[in-house]
Amino acid sequence: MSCYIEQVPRISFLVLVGMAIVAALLYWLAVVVERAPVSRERVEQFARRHRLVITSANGNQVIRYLAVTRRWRTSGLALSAVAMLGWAATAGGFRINTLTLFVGWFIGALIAELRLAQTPSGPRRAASLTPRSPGAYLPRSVWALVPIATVLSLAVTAAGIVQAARGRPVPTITWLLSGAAVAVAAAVLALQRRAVRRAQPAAEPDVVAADDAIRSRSLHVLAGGGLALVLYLALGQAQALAPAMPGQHGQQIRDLSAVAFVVGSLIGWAVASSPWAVRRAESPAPPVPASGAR
Amino acid sequence: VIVEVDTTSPTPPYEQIRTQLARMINAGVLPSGAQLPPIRQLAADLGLAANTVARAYRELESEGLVDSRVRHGTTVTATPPTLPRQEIHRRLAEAARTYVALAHQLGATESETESAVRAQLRATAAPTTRRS
Repeated sequence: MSCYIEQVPRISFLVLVGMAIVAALLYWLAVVVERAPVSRERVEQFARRHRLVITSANGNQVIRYLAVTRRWRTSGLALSAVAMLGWAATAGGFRINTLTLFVGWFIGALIAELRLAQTPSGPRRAASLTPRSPGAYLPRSVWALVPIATVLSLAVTAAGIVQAARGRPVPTITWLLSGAAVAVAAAVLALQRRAVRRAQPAAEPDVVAADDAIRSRSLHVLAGGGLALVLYLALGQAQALAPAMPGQHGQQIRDLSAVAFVVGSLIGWAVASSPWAVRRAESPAPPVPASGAR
Repeated sequence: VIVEVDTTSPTPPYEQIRTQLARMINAGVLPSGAQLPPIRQLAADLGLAANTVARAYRELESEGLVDSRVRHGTTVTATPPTLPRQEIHRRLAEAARTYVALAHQLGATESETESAVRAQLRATAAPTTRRS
């Protein structure tokens, strides 16, 4: 999960200045990326992924979603990079920790989802009576991935408890990572439920279709990112526990974890970026016959 | 099929929801077995507290119009439409009179008045037409 680029025994003043400059550059880059207009390619890619027809009515809706998510994800990534540099300055060695960067990005993604929720205002409000089912926005199999990863984490925790009961030393980090995995899974599942339930405008079909597509994309990103993060934490637990395992099991766990890390990352990325055409639930009833209007 | 709430109305929001749903069920617009949206979804869409929508659903349940079951949600019970077509036409004419009067007050042309109705009909029919 991390690789050492350079190990320096003591941080000199020049290195500190260099790190400060890099941090400032990262911040500047994040601000530039945040403020740049959403490109046509990004909007078209979004439309392709959800088979959405972009119209004059829903174009701004999609652009706003892409802008808000990019702003928060970029901010999270930049802040985690700065935090990584700060840590390097105090710890005396510079290393790129992909987990830290990913955690920053994902926290930004979670905040973006919270910021997207809008409460209807105004005296007159309308709502569709069509139920929104979670399966319409994300395949059932994908909904199960975060809980499965959590079960894996709990299984490693159980193995740690067994080893501790046998008198073998189990590092404290194992328990901390276990708690973190459960907390992340709970946060992701709560935000996913919130994404399905967040207010939908009772508007023209193209606006509702864009809202559905946005909801689906949010759920995909939460599922993919949540799966990867919970898996990383579970693998971190397994690696921390490896020395306490008897015989060759420790080495086998390390080898398996390295493979699972790559596979988990790929699955998470594939889930987060996979296309999905939203399948709307059946309307409670056909609309009132419009014969009188013709 | 949409439900509307006016928060400035003296009628409480739960009563507005209950009245509209009861009317749609009695008119057969919401047929027997139709699934109503979950309480939290409807509450979020209308910007109301979940308890408000829950109360409307409870009232409908006590009237025997809907049936709420854990993990199955709220469905319309087997109630045949009770409004005769003549009554439906009468109510529509009444609503149309009110609408046309408003259009005249606003100075809308005949085509503008008609197109607003057509646009609303298209918007209401959205979920069905999008699937086909």
